[in-house]
Amino acid sequence: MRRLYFFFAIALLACSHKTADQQLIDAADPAASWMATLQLTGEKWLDNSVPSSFVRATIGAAQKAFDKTSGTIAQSQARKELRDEIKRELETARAAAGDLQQAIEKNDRRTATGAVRRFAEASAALQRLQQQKNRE
Amino acid sequence: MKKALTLALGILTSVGGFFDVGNIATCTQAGARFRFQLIWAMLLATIVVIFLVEMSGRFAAVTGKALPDAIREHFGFGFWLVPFVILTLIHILVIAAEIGGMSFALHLVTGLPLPLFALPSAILVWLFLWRSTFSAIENSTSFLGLITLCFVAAAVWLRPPIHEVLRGSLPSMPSGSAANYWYIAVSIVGAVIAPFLFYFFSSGAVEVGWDRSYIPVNRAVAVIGMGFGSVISIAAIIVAGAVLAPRGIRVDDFHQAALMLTQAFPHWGFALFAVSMGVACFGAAVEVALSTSYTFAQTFGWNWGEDLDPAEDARFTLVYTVSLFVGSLFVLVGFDPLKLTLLTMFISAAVLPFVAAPMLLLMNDRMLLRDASNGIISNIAAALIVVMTLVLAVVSIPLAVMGGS
Amino acid sequence: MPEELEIIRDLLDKQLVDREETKMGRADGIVLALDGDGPPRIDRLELGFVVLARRMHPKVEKWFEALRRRWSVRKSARQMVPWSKVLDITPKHIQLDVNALETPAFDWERWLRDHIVTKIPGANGE
Repeated sequence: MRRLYFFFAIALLACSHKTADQQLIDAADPAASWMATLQLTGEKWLDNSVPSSFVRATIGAAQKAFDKTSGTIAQSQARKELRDEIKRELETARAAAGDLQQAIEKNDRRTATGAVRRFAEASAALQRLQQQKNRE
Repeated sequence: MKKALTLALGILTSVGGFFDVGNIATCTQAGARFRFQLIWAMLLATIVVIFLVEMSGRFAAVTGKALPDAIREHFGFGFWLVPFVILTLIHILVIAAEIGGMSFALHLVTGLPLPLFALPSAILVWLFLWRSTFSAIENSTSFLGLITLCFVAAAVWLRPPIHEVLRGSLPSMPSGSAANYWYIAVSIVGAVIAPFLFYFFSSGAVEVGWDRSYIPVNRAVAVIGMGFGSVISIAAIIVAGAVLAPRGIRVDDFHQAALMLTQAFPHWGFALFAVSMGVACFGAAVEVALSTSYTFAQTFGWNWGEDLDPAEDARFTLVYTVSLFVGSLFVLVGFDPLKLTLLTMFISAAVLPFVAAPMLLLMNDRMLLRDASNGIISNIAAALIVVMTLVLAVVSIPLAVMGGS
Repeated sequence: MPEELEIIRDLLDKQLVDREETKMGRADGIVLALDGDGPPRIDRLELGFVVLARRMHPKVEKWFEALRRRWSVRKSARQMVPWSKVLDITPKHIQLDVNALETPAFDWERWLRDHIVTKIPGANGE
């Protein structure tokens, strides 16, 4: 009887097992979502639709999410190219967030526009990875 | 004429309690993650809550007693003790969540840190309860609550593909993570079928003095009121689905939801979201705090009634004061309002059988209700509701652990 | 006043009101007296948290008793209402021939009112 439970548990584990690559891409999903959020936030700030305080608060929340994803990457067993790629997009987004933060303080619309574009690219790259994973 | 006025007010009141921080959180998450695919969960939950609210109102109209009152009297203190403790816990958690919602709205508008607004929000609700009568409360929060119609306006303006919306009205296999799909579905049901809604409704009916002649009005209020609130909630799903989902924006934080109206209303969208959320959460906080007082006062037989001056029902007043204060502590210490809301919705879903069962049992008591006791339709609905709440109770905690991304 | 009563169904946990129909608690306990060979008669109704606690478990009762001694405004743990004070029993409530404000049922209500509530502006509806 005990052997039956054992095999059952193994089978269950095997069925629900995702590869380390898939797990990492899933873990990066919130980061991609925040990048898209910052893109929209930046666009709306340029449109004068949202106040600067909101942009600041959103950047703060996004950075926390980026930090969490960085931690997950560090512990991940996924292959190196994938980890590096996601790390790259995270860095782009982080830098863009920093630029956006400064841009709104100085009302620098040009820098803000640049930051928005980089958010768009980074989130698009991560979403491409998601789509590739779903096709597998 | 008086009944027509009651009907109008009752509908507005129902809307006020329906669309609150729980619905905002779960509907925006649903729309952002799965576009229109979870509209059926909202529809199902609405049908259930219509039945529960109708029963609650009918009970109060016929017996002149509210639910906590009747349950203790009828089943005894021992039986009522467990649901009473659970109900109180849920009440306080919901108050905490609503205060979180109010605080977030104030944070959006002012840009100041969120926990700063925990105590001021609680005090605002408290002041309102301290000074007002029941009708004044219901009238004002109802009219203020009409601002949430901006979600409906936005949904219409965005012109979502109708066939997709209709397809979402029926259950379907999720395109995406199944665990996350069912997690959000359960959270929607937990948010809509809020125990305070149908408990409060019975006390409210007693406060305004409903009698047997109000049974048809009660039915209309239940259907139209809950239905109206549901329309606003579905609009929130649609707007999130049309604005956030295509961009891959998930709602892991209320800040991500705050942008949703800016597409339909470029200039006013941000402010409209903040005001809608603030007002909706305020109205709900008022009702839940009152509901806590009603529950305590009726359980122990104290003098109760919002129309009484605080000097006449000091213990009643003390209960909502303490509840509001304790609720505000969660937000004050920095609990994230979205996480707090979702946790509360799941706990609420898990304990629904305990708090709904006593009422469902009472509805069949022919001695109490005579010819107004549950008919076949209501009883079939009640049986299905019991089954559903039991299933919810079993799956909600595991789902909360597994499916929350 | 009905002719026959079911103690549990019609008396226990029922809402109590005074002469003016002001709510004053519930019948948390019923005490029967057994004198000699005759059938038991209802001696009194009892009110109070301690009475409720006893229905849950004797240990809970002791705990509440200790709390009451330390913190409570009440002079005694249980308020006793002799059966002779019962004016009327309706499906809605049990009416007692007392004035609620003068009974221990309103001890906490009075204390809160005098010490806290009336100190805050607006308590009397001005």
